[in-house]
Amino acid sequence: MSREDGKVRNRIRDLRIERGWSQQDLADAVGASRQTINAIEQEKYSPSLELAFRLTRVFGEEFEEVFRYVRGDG
Amino acid sequence: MSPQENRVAAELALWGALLLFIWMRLTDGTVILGQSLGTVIVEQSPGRLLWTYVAAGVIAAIGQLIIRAVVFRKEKDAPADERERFIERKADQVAYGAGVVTVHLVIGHVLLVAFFDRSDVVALDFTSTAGILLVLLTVLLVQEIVRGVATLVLYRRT
Repeated sequence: MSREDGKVRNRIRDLRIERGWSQQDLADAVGASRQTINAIEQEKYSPSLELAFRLTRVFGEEFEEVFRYVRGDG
Repeated sequence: MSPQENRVAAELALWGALLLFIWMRLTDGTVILGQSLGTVIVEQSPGRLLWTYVAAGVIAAIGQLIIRAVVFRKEKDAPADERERFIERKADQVAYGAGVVTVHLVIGHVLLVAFFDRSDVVALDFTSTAGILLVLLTVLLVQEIVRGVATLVLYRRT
């Protein structure tokens, strides 16, 4: 099997702004720091599965509506 | 900067100051801040070496206590989350690598001195009590400094 390079993209910034939440509001809701939310939004940091599920649940969305895996530079 | 970054930056300054203190106590060369610092290791009595070692430990402990006292309340309000723990683990790996590289550099240096048997050609002869104390404390502090720098860089990049 060949290794596939890809990247996890997310819509957290869009979803957060749609709901009128600040980064700190979201951070408090999922038990992370504001800096971590900022890093996830900028796609500098990929959250653990646990945090990714917590984020999805807070937004009330399906997992793949929030996160998606993009092959290559996507 | 987050409370964690503030603490790391303060600790970095502490380790840098401690490294300077140890080199000022154990080496001779250029005069900086009224103290001599250079590439010649100064042989000292066991009592003075012990004093330097204990003083370094006391400075490190008091410095850490002050830093924790100033930053601790903020850290308590915002405990480290998974990204911060990830950064700490990565920084530990980088520091371990730096420690290994530094030890190998010291081994190479010691062998070079032994091979040529000319400590006047190769500066810093570590094969003395003061030299051993200097090199061991330097390796420890270099590791801590690399850990701090790596942590701050990772906070910017991750």
